[in-house]
Amino acid sequence: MRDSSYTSSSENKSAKKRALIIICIAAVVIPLFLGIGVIYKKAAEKNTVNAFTKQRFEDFYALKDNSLDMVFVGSSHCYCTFDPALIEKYTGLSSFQMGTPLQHPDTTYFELKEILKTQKPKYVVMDVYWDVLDDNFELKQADSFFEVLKDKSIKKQYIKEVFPLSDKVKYSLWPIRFQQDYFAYAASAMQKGLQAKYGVKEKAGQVQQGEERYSDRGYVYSNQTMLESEYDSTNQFKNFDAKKWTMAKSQKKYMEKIVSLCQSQNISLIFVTAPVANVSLGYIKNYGVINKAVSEFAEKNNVPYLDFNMENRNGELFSNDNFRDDAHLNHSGVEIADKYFARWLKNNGIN
Amino acid sequence: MLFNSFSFIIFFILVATGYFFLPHKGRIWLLLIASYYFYMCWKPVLIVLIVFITFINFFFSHVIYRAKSAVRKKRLLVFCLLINFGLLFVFKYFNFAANSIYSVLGFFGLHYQKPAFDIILPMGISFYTFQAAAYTIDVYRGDIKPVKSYVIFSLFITFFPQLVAGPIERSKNLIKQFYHKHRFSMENLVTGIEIMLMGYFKKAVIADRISVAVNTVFNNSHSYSGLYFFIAMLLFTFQIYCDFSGYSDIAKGCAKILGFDLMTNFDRPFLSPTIKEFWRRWHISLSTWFMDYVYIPLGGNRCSRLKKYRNLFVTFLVSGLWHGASWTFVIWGALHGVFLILGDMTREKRNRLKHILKLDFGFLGKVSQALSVLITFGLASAAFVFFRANTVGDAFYIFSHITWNIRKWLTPQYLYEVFTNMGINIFELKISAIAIGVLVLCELFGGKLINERLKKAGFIPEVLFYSFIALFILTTGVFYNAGQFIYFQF
Repeated sequence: MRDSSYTSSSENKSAKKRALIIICIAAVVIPLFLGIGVIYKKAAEKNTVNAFTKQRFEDFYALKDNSLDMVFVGSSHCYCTFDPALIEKYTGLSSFQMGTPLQHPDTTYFELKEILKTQKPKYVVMDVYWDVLDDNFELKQADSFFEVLKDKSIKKQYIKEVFPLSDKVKYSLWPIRFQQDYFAYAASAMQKGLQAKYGVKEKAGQVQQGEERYSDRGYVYSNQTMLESEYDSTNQFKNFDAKKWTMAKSQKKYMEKIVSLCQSQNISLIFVTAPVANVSLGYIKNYGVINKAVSEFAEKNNVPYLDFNMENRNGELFSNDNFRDDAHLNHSGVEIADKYFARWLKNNGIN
Repeated sequence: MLFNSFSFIIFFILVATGYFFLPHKGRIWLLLIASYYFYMCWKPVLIVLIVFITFINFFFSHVIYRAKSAVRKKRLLVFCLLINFGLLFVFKYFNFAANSIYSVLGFFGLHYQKPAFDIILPMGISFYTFQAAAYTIDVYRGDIKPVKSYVIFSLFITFFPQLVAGPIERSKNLIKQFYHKHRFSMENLVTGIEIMLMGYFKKAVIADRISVAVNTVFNNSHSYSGLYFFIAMLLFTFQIYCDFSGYSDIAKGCAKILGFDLMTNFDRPFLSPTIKEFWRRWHISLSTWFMDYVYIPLGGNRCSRLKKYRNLFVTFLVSGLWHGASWTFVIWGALHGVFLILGDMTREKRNRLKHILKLDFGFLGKVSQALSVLITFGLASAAFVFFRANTVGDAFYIFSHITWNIRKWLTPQYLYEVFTNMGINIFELKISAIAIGVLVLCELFGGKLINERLKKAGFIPEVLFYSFIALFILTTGVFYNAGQFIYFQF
């Protein structure tokens, strides 16, 4: 074995010079990195989806204690499907919409803990969208959720238990955490600039008519319809085959925790899978695999389950015009869904 | 475990720290355990395959070395290679072969129950199988003696920086380095970090960002046309280069910090004036592997012109198939074979023409050289359409629709529509274009080893350049849903 562990003074000098390079790079990069983080964070504050979540929680915290019969939790599919005003109209139950973008069951669990501090609902309706039952941790969804939480101890516990190590690092670095927000903001500004300078406009069929806005009690109203491209080229479900789909163990564990939490509080838990557009459902191969897995889980835990995609598999309930995009209902679809949901509750003896 | 993940950075810091605190024997064990762990983070059970390949090649290399007769040596080698490539065939090519035979027989009206197995393609199988096979062939040829230590041989096969996507190291270069006790060196640390930074820049800033636009267009090719295809084609050329050479840089940088020198896998391939030169600079470890173990054994160029072209074509056909079990890869390889043959056939005439037109020196010579580089880049990019397309039909569709609306290509409205409908937002596209510009400038003016050049340029340029690169990575790199390296699937 050869050993090259000799040193000399010239080598020491050279080593010191090389070490100085690393120190100097760090000295240049760190302050600029922190400064850019501040710029990115400012852009994130202008993100409308984050603004909806913020408004939702502000409205929730303004509620009187124990004033709700029903709470909706889950992903964007949830806040784009259940309108508390319509639910009240069809069932007489007072409800609130607590869905947040891409909310995974781990997030739902902690959100529910926060909700149950001030509310004692009879029912918790949990949106079970398959995409949030995977193991891919979504820092964005977690971030937008806990930034609006009042209880900082839940936030700490959430970060400790749910965040993978690498995301704990990303979370602490603003330029990484808020990069997507800044890029979206900068793109929007760039597009506006180009439109003003060259008189260019969005491609025909790429501009959504109508509006999407935070409405009331957590619900996000929209009268928009799907873009032409979402029927084909930009449809997110194109080439999606559910043949090998399974529920991630980590999310399953949190779903079980949610079941236990509701049982301990004497709350009726209901699982619902919100509909995706008819055209999207047509693209999904082996959807039955997902339905079977969730149904079995629900049955095992004695939780009633409504899968809108199965109810709509032949297009009986919705048409593509009832969707704001390839996966979310617009208000015309929400009216159909909520009416159907109220009837389903009654038919199943739940309410 | 991906190189572009925080988990890997933490893993590497721990391994590198432990490595320099241990005695030499302990270091080898540490690297071996770390390498196994690195691979098992993906699918633990598939480590069995690496252990098996290691054992088979270790065992046969010794038996071949000891065998007295040439015939017996040859038989043993053939048997060992059959096991190596047999496993590769089962895991990588079985379904492709079954489907192809089924289609051919179906064409002649012969239908049968097609055998189909749900086989996982083990990450990096083509890389470690080729590395192991090359070692055994080298022993058979008498170029090297078999390694006595099973642990060192295992580490040679599994050394984590190059395990899943190369470079495919030669035993002559790597094994001897495992016997050397590497002292911690600040020089190696800084150089390693600088090489890794360039790798992360290529991967996180360029490849992962533009992959979204590339996937959007290539996965929905029938919904696009014209300039979309042209841009997606160029972007994919940069994506694959940045993805793969980025991986090689990170691998080389990691190894450098630990005191190892891995071979250079890419040498500014897009500055090549000919396709022949391109292959001297692109995936060098694989090109030289095919040269030494396929092209030369087939007869190389020491035979008739026709046989030389046959050897060239077969080598590139096999090289295409090495990349993936699909006809798109076979066609990609075949195209390069054709380019090389045509290049060789016309070389003398082109040189004569250049001489007559005085395009071989001075200013016109430089213009001619630049034009050659552009044409080579264009040919490589066009061939990459087959590499990336989901099916052969998609690739032909792209070529037949790429010039659609060409008169409108430079109108502001059409450009705006294209730039805002490629799956990534226009700001991301701008960032990517700037990053590609930076990369091209680095390759044009940085030479083969930009870190060496900057070191010579002085302290301040070196600090400023790497600060800029580090900041670029940290503020514009893709850290959410960072993509796997493309070559992992090979």
